[in-house]
Parts: sequence; structure tokens; C-alpha cells
Amino acid sequence: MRFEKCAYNVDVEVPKPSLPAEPRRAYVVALIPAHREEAEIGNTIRSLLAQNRPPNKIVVITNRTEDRVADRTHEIAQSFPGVTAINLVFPIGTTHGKSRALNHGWRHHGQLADIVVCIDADTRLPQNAVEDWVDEFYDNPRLGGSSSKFTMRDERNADQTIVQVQRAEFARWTDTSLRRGWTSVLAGTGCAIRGAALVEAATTSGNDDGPWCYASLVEDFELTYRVRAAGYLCQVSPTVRAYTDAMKTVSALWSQRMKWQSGTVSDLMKLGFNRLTALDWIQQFAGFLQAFVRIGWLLALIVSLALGSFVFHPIWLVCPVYFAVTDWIMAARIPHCTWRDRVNAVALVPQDLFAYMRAGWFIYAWTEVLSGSEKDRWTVQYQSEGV
Amino acid sequence: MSSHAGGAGFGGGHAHVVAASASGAVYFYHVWYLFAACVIIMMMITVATIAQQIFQKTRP
Repeated sequence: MRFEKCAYNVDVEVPKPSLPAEPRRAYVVALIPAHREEAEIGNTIRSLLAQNRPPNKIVVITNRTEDRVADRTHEIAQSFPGVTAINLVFPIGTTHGKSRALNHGWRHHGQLADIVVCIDADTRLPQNAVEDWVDEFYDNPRLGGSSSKFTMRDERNADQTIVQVQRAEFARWTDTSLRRGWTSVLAGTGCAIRGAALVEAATTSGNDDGPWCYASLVEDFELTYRVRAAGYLCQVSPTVRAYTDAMKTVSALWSQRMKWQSGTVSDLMKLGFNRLTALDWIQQFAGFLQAFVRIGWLLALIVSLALGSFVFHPIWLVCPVYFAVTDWIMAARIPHCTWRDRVNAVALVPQDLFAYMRAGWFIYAWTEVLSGSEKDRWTVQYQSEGV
Repeated sequence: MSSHAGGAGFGGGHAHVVAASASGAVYFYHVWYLFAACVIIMMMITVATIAQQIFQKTRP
């Protein structure tokens, strides 16, 4: 493991043992918060029921505010025998619906669980997921949570370039986290968390409902921080995948990333700089540097063209050719790599445009947080996704 | 993470006066060196990443 002292609070001992003697006796509860997911909820539940080692309990918590019309998500969840379906309707203006749904499910059905699996209602787990997660917790008593490897199926996302760049990006994120041996985000999209760690996190969430807090836009990042601060290791599972959807429009992608970036920056400002946040601060610094270089390069190019001083030399083509070749090599790491991934890597332009977008939401999010804006980024994302 | 800034430059690597403002000449070659350094660092990071991936047992 790299930078172990930054991975978790090494000064704290975690309680042992926190699991039954045999893995097959472990009580596993799956929590699925759902907000207008009638198209995919059935597939998500079926993927859990088809596990080699199914969860002992599956809980679907549908949530919406009073002003939103209910869809069929709750009805579909109810139709599965053995699945516990809960329908939460919040007063108008209630925020953090996902965290509230998770807390409700945990409080009523997950408090005594040895392991809690959390997955989004549009995510599918392969058959080995729960079994492998249980084994991981038995193999390492320090393990507090294990995130899945996000995989976007090409055939589920059509042949859009915007999906290809996200596939490449997620593959790199996963690769880096696996190499490091730990992560600072147990992504809510699909992860498993040790029950004892959640019980402890419930005492530090700032509410009486459960482990998830209502003061963060990125509730998974915030929870992971508290789990790590309690002395637990959080990692990306080397074997468990989670098949999920990509953002399919520029508007939806922008809204999703603004929520992530604004939430992360806001939380980092609250948490400050310490061993556990050092990596995230370094990533923010790297983001600033990249944004500066990209925007600076563009401005300098425009100015030099305007002044007529631009001179082209063929030797400069070495750079784009070099990056095209290396991107083509790295594209092979994308799970279920297709020819479209390879073409996207060699073409360079889509990834360059994506990098400029990234610089955009990076700077915009920092500006928003520093100006004290408290925009409800969840609502903005739902609107841009049309749900 | 890719950085593909190649393909353009500002008067080569020579000291090159490209413009004049009211207060004096503006030299772009400093900017060129800065960006060239950033691109070279990105190239080194990329090749180091690929080298590590060769020995990595896990798949993303």
C-alpha cells in the first residue's frame, strides 16, 4: 500500500472481531436508494437476487418530495418477493433525499448488519460481487469499506463520444486507486461497508438518523472520510465490478461534475488539511495547474495568432503523436474495450475537449464555493438528466 | 489524464519579440518554455504510468 499513513487514521485501533466466525453466517443487507428509477430498478434487484451469495435482505427506499409525481419505482420493487420496499415522501424543499433514504433504510433494517451493501438503483452487480466483498472483509479486519470498479457497458450507452471519454476516465481512476491500495471515496454507486464502521459513523454524522450526513453534496466522500478517521481502511475492490450508466449529454455531465467538485471543495474547506485529506488537496492543486496550463496555452496561442507571430514547425507534431500512441496503449485498460475506445484515444480531440470542460467545472466550482453560493446541485442534476 | 498541447508554438525556442505594448516589448518565449516544461512533465508521467501498468496484477 502506498502512503499508508494517509489512507486511514493509523493511531486508532478498530474493534476486533466484528464479524461472525464463518463468512456464510455474515448478515448482509443491501440498501438501494431510488429516485425515479422505474426503467432500471428491476434489473438492479434481479442482479442482487442472482448473486452467488445473495444478501440476507434487500431494501429499496424510494424517495421524492411532495411536489413530484410518483413513478412506478416503488411498485416495481414491491413486486419482487422478499424485497422490502419503502416509499418516502418528503415535504417540499427537503434536501439530501438520498442520504435521508439511506439513513431510513439503515435505521430500520441495517443497524444489526455485519456488512451493508449500498448501490444506486441504476447499477447492476455481477454474480461474484457480494461473495467477494464478504471475503474481503474477512481477509482484512482493518477494512471498513470496499468500492466497486465502475464499468460502463458500451452497448448500454450507444456510440456517443461523451460516453467513451467517461469510460477512459473511470478506467484511469480505478487503475490509480488499485495501484495505491486505498481510496478516499466509497462511491455510493456501488460499495460495501462494514456494519461496525457504520455504527460508529452514525455517532459522528451530525444527525440522529444514521451514518449519512445532511451537510454534504458528496455524502459518500464525507462518510468515507469519517470511516477512515475511525481507523478503517477503504479500498477499491480488485474483483467486484458495478455496471452503471454514463452521463449522456454535456449538460448532464456538467451538472454531475459540478455537484462532485463543489461538494468535494466544500467538504475539504470544512475538514482542512490533514493526513487524510492530503491526497485530495494535492488533486485540487493538480487540477488548478492543469486548468492554468490549458487556459494559458489557449490564450497565448490566440494572442500570438492575432499578433502574426505564430510560426509552425513540424517537430511539434511529436507531442500529439506521442500522446495519441500512449492513449491508444492505455485504452486497452478500459474494461470491455471496443474499437470505439481505441479510435477515441487516437483522435485526441474528444479527450482534449473533455479536459477543457474539466478545467471549466473545476474553476467554476471553486468560484461558487468561495463566493458562498449554496445552490442545490442535486436538483440541478435531476433537471439536466430529465428525472 | 491527458494533456495534448502539442502542435503549436510561439516563434520557436528563440528569444523572439512578438509584440509591443505602450510600455515596451512583450516576450512570449517565457510562456513557451513554461508550456514546453508542462508538456514534457505530462509525457514523463504518461510513460511512467504505462510502465507501472505492465507490472500491475489488477485490472480496472
